[in-house]
Amino acid sequence: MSSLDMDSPPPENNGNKQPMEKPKERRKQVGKKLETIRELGQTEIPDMKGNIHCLTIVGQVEGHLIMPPQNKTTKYEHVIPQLVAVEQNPDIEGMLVILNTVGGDVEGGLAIAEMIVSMSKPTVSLVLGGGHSIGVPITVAANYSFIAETATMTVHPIRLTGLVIGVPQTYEYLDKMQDRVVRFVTQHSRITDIKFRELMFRTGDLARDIGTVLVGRDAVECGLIDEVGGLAPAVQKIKELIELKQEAKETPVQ
Amino acid sequence: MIHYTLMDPQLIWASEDDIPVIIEKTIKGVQVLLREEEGETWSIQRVISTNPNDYLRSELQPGLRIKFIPVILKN
Repeated sequence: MSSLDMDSPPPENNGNKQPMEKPKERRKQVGKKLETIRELGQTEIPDMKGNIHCLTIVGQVEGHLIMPPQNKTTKYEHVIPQLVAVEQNPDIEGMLVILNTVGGDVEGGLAIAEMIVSMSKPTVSLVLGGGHSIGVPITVAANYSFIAETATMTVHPIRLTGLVIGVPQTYEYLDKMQDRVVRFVTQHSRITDIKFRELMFRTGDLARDIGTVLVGRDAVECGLIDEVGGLAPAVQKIKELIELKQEAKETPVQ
Repeated sequence: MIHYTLMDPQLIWASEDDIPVIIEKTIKGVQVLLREEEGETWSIQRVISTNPNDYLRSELQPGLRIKFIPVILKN
């Protein structure tokens, strides 16, 4: 079917008050569309409303400090209000979280993860490329998680940067921060505390660090991620979750 | 501050001499990051939105040059 066919008037419009004006207007619109395609190589995008919104976590997760401009960052001051908007907007029924991140600020990352986990709308996460370090809690925060076959997730211990006061309390603090991450991940995925810590402190896997790189299927096998998949399965899953939620709403309370 | 990442701290925190000017603006209801270019123009760096349709809008495509025109508003 050509675009001209699509624009032909429906039969019930024949009895309109101004039958002469309609075809003219239409011709003008079609002409404008063709001109845009010819001049700019752009097609006009139909104004359609989707019920699924998408949140992208890319580059570094930026938290309490502004990072130098050579870094690609996802800022928490951008993401947090967006999540509030998604939660409040009645037209949005589900959210897809797409990650390709190297990690970043622990508190910024945990804030985003806690926001996602406490949302009432169905959420599905998809790791493409990499979902390292603080990307792990953000991924498991969604109701269901996917990882691309070639994507990787690095699990490694957290560390302090900058000036560190060399007192035993510093180590205790670091340990507490570590526990925050471990607890969140084990609570929201199938991985056990022992297994996660074993992956985190493994030696010999990374060249300059301790920890483990999980490639696609490995992340699913250890229980961190639910399934290996891409965009279509992720969108399909979110639609399923939306349907389930609607069914639950429709069944009367007994 | 705890930075939980794979990347080298030297790589992240190194400061560059040539820092591009990036500002945040709302264009047609969508938040965008703009980078200052030559000749008082700005180029769209990134669209910040959760709505996938915003990324398809031709007037918000990354790389597009825009100009701010001062307008006097009469009350």
